[in-house]
Formats: sequence, C-alpha cells, structure tokens
Amino acid sequence: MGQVVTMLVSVAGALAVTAVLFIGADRTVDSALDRWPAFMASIGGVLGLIVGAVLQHNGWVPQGPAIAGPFSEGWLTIVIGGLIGAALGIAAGRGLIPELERRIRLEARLRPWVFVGPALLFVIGGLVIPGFRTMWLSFKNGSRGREPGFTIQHYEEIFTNRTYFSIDGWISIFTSRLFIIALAAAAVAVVAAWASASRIVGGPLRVKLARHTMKVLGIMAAAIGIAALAGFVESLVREPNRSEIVDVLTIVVSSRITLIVVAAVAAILVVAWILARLRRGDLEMDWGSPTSSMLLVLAIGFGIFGALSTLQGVVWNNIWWVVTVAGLSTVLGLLLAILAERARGERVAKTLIFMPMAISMVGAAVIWDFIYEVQPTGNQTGLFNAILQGIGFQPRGFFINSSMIPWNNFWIMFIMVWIQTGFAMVVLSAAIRAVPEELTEAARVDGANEIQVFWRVIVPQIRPTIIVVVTTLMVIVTKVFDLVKATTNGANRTNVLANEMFDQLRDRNFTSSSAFAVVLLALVLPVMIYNIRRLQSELK
Amino acid sequence: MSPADTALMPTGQRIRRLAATTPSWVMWLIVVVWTVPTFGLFISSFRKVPDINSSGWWTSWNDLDNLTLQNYRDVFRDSAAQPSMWEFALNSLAIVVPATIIPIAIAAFAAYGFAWIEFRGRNWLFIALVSMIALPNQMAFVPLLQLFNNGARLTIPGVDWTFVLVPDVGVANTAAAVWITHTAFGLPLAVLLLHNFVSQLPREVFEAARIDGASHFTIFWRLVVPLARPALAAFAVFQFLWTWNDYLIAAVFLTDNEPMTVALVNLVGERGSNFQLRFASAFVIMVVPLIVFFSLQRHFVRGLLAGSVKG
Repeated sequence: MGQVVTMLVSVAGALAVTAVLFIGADRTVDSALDRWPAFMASIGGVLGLIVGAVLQHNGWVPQGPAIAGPFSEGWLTIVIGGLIGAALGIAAGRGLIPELERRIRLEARLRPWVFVGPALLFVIGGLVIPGFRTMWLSFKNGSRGREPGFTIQHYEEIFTNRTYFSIDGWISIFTSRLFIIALAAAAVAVVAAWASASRIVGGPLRVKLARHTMKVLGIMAAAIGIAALAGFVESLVREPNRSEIVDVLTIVVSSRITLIVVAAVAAILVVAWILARLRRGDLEMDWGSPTSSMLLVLAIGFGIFGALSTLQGVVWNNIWWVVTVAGLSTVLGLLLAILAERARGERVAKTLIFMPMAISMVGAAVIWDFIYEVQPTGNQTGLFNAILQGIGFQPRGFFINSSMIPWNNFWIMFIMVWIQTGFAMVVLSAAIRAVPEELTEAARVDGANEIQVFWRVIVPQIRPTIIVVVTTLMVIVTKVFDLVKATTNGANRTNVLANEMFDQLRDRNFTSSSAFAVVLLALVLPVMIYNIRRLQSELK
Repeated sequence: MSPADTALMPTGQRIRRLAATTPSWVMWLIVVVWTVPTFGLFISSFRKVPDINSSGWWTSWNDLDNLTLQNYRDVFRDSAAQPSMWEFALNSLAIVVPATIIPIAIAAFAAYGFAWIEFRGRNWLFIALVSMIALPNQMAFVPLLQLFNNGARLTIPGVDWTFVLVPDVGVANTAAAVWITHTAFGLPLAVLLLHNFVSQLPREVFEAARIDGASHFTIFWRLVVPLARPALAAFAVFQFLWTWNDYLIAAVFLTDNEPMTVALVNLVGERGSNFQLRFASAFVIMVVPLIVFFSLQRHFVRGLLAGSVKG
C-alpha cells in the first residue's frame, strides 16, 4: 500500500508543482504589466541576492554577525545585496514605466515563454545538455571521464575492434546468392523498362521490331533467371549453409554448364546492346513500369541485404537491422493496406495485425520463443521446428546454432517486423484512402489495370507518407535494444549498438558507453536532418 | 460463370480474375501468421510445466483438461525466489501514471504557445524541439544517470570555482527518476502531435476570444483544452503504451523497485526454478496494454496519423 500512496502523492505533487509554476509564471507576467515597479523591484531583488551570495561565498566582503539556524555567517551581505538590487530595479524601471505601446510589447516578449518555457526547460535539461555532455564524455580519458585530457580511443576501439566493425569479408558480397539474385532481377528490370517504353512510344513498325527484339531478349533474360535460380536451388539443397559463389558455382557448373553459358552470353549481349543504344541516344526506358520498378526495388533490396548480411560487426548489424525491418515492414504494410481495401472483415484483420504494437518487445520475445524454440531430443515445442520436422528436415536452433549465423539475426528482426507492420499498414492505408477517387477512376477508364493503377497513380500520390513511414521506422529500429536483450543478449554475432551501449553503461564504462551512443546518433543524423528540412518547408 | 467459361477466357483475363480474388486469402493468411504466436503464448500460460517442455502448445487441443490456472496463481504469490507480480505492477504504475499525465500538461501549454502566440524565433524553436524526436535516448543516459546520482556541479576553469547547479535531491533509483526521464523523452513527440491538432482549430474562435478581452491563459483553459481533448487522449494512449512497455529506461535507472518488464527479462534470463513463471507473467504484462489498445484503438490510430501523415 505504501507504494500506492507514494505514487499518488508524487503524481499529485508533480501536477500541483506544474500548475503552480505555470499559473505563477502567468501571474508574474500579469504583474509586470500592471505593477511595473513591484515587478522590477522583485527581479532586481533576486539578482541582488545572487550577487550577494556569490560575493559572500568567495569571501570578498567582510563576514557579518552569525545567527543560529538557517542564517549562517554572511547572511547580512546577501540581504544587503538583495535590498540594493531591489532599489536598483525600481530605479531602472522608473525610466521605462510602460505606456500602452510598451505594455503590448512587454506582453508579446514575456507571455510566450510562460507557455513554451516548461517544455523547453525539460527538453534542454533532459535531452540537449545531456546530449552535448555525452559527446564530451565520449572523448574523455578513463571510464568515468574524470581524468584530464581528451582522447579518441573509444571511437578507435569501435572502428578497429572486429567485433564492432569489420570490412574483411567485403569481397564475398559479390559472390553471395543474394547478390546473384539481385543481378538477375536488375537484368530483367532493364529489359522490362525498355519493353514497356517501346510499347508506349513506338510507332507501328517500331512496335513490330520491338516485339521481335523483345522476344529474343526475353528468352535471354529468362535464361539468366533460370540459370541463377537453378544454381541457387541446387546449392541450397546440396549445401544449405554455404553462401560462397565458389561453392555455388562448383555445384552449378558440374551439372548446368549449358545454362551457365547461355546466361553469360545473354548477359553480355544485353549489356552491350543497352550500352550501344544508350550511347546513340535512341533508347527509351520506362523505369516507372510496374514490372521494372518492382524488380528494381527487389534488386536493390536484395543487393543491400546481401551486402549487410556478409559484413560483420555490431555497427553493420545495426545498419542491417534498419534496412531490413524498415524495408520489410513498409512493403508488408503497403501490401496489407491494399489487400484490406477490398477484402471482407477488413476491420478485424487490421486490428489483429495492428495488435503487436501494444505488446512490449520483451513480451514479444517471450511470445516468439514458442515459434523458434528448439529441443535437442524428443518432441519439438517450437512451431517452426515442429513444421520443419514434420516435412522431414532437421530442427535447428534459430538463435543459438552457429550454423545459423548470420541468419539468426534475421529471425530476431522478423519479430520486429511483426511488431511494426501494423504501424506501416495503418498509416499507409489512411494515405491510400486520401487519394482522390477521380484520379484512380480516370486511370481505369484509360485502360489501366489494377497493378498499373496502384503503381502509377496511388504510389506517387502517397509517396510523402511512404517516406514518413520509412524514416520513422528507421529511427525506431536504429535504437533496437529490448528484443536483442531478451532473445540472445547479443550472443552469436547478433549484437547491436544499443545493447553494447547498455552493457558498457552497466559496467560503469561511461566514456565508451557514450561513444556508442554518439555512433547511434550518427546513424540517425541523416533522418534528423531530413526531418528538419521537411518541417521547415511545412511551416513556410 | 462456369468453369468452362473460365477456361475459355484469354490468359490475361484469367490472371486478372485471379488477382481480383487474391486479396482476401492472402490477407487472412498473413493475419493468421500474425496472430498465432500470441495465441500460442496464451495457451502455454495455462499448461503444466512438464507439458510445456515436452510437447508443443498446439497439442493441448487433445487434452484440454490438463490446462490449469496454477501458473497464474504462482505469478501472483509471494515467494522467496520471486516476489508477487502485484509488487512489480505497482512499481509500473508508479512510473506510468506520472509519465503519462505530466508530459501531456506541459506539452499542451507548449502546443498552444507555438501554434497561437506570435513571437520571434517561434518556428526555429519549434523545429529544434520537434527534431529531438529522432534523437536516440541513449544520448542522454549517462549524463542523466550521473545527475540523478550526484547532482550537477559546474567548475569554471582557471579560477576553479565550483557551483552546485543541481543538488543531489535523492531521486536516484526511484520511480521519479524514471518518469522524469520519460517526460523529457516524450515531450518532443507530444508537442508535435498536439501542435498539429491545436494549429488546425479555426482561427476565428481565437480572434473572437481575444477581441472579447480573454487572456491567453483563459483561452488556453476554456477553449484549447476542451477542444483538443481528442488529441490529448491520442497522446495519452501513446505515452501510456510506450511507458508501460518500456524496458530500457527502467533498466538503466533502477536497481530495485523495478517495473514488470524488468521482472520479466530477469525471468527470461534465468533458466532455473522460475522458468515456468515467464509465460503467465508475459501474459499478465500484456493484459493492461491490450485492454487499453482494444478499447481506445480509435485514439491510438488518430495519434499515429497526426504524427506521421501531414500535408
């Protein structure tokens, strides 16, 4: 019960203090307008008290007689200081007793601060000053930052220690499966963009020619795609845990050599042909066509995802988190927003998808334990492993098996996607609703199919909202902490910056903890600057 | 349309028909995937410990009689190993209630000030304040921890004067330290949400009140607070969920009197005797936000939209 009382008292107290300060400030401004001399006298008095205290504290004036109790030696100096200050305040105020015009000016100068002052004080005291102090601490010697002198050793540690940051494996980015898929998608996207353009702008003869060339190119592109896919599938089956192209290629070459040759020739031809046409300047490309732009997005996504899954270290891991969760949640949210538009039971579905937003990340980690859990023997108690076992695969420890690295990260990220998709869906679905009906109807009348309407009308209309969703998610995901803490606590190369920062803080390594916080800030800085720009243009 | 007609349709048309029927089942598939995990936890929290460790929760359909309330009884029972969840729930409340009410009050003043009082540097200050939304909270942890533990002193170099800026008032390790931090961190978003709403109120209302001689204080109290009630509710739901679910700030600033999230992480960390408690505990922690969420979903959505959809 004691806690309840304490809580009620603290709430009531805090509210009372807030109210008294706010109303007090408001009345002070009123008194400045109505009783100018008294106002000036009190301002001068307070300043005088401070000056008196400082003088007395440093022993620059003779000590007065001591009185017992709260009045220690030197109280006289402080009181005299206050009196002189009050007198000076009245004297200064006499020169400018407010007339009507001055009253108005005074009101405009003081009143705003009564309203915005409390918020500014909290934010300056709780965020701005601590922020600068964190930056300062991150350059200090010693773990508490008390020793003199400055150093960059904490940053050096972050960017030279391989657990935090490493670019050693960068060459295998280009040989990873994901990169091959990205390349294939990009190639098909190029062809699709060209084909779409020739369909739109070409005359009859050109259309015929275009169709003809398109068939050849289509076959070539299909060859690339099939070769890549076949190699990928085969390598998956044979060597599930290898991602090096050397391995993939040995498997592919030994059995699918013809396809590889076809794909290589096709790729070279396509690239050479595009380059030649581009140089001549008569190549029309329609990058906005649904197929090509979707494939391009896919290619870029896979490329970045592949690169980040290859690079090692806490910093890269954090960036991988940001890209994956922000990207996947937005895409899934957009998909759901469109699907829900026309489906029955839309409200129920949306609520259920949105529900994880209300669950704490710690709770989410416990929930997903029932999905990812692995048992060394006997019945599997995790749903995924039970399914895997059911269809004849080996169960795997999604977080703990070293063979899962780096994909154990992905399975934690997916929990975050589970939480955040609802947010993306709700916001994007509101934006889609706001697209004027006339625009989509006009497009349909002009013969656009649903995919085209979506891609060429709705997406451009809701682009600002998509950007807001992505940037908001990026800010949230950069700081990810609870999930990693409650699932793996950073083991098996799943650590992220916020978790490392927290552990350093727990170990009382305040300076290196600060350095990790500053790296986090550096990661969100682009978003912060972008947000400031956007606000500036909105307020104009 | 009969199957024969469908077969006669040109390919393009058939694909389009497929696309038209896709939405429902794809969406419901995702809905099921999204709901199953929570449901699994719910079922598991009623299962006996040996069952949890030996078979999947989906198998308990076969013997519903084996379900028990024992886990929940254990969660709310005081024991040497683990205090009752009530205690942690009260700790949570001691943080959440002030951390929800106080930022709303302060942000409402500021939102009115920024929206309807003209002063120099208004836009600039507003942008600076709101841009703090993206500032990682981690940037403030170390200094705030030092502030709560030791107060703040400023030493002027050269003359070597040391001023006590903030005395050590003993908030370290109390709920106050946590809700003060939550207030500072929550204010930028609160000001943005309320400002977006308050600035949309019709200008005539304020002009008429000013002409009638109402002071800013009266306008704020009599007009803005009642009119902005939906926005205030939206932010309240927001901040409530955020502070109730928070683990990080509580873990940084508290070593005892922890809220429920910290208790749960401690349960998850240990694989010992209290292992079974975490499922029921996790569900207990979720119940309050889920009730708030389902009953006030409208406000929550409005808050989300006010914060992100603009222009």
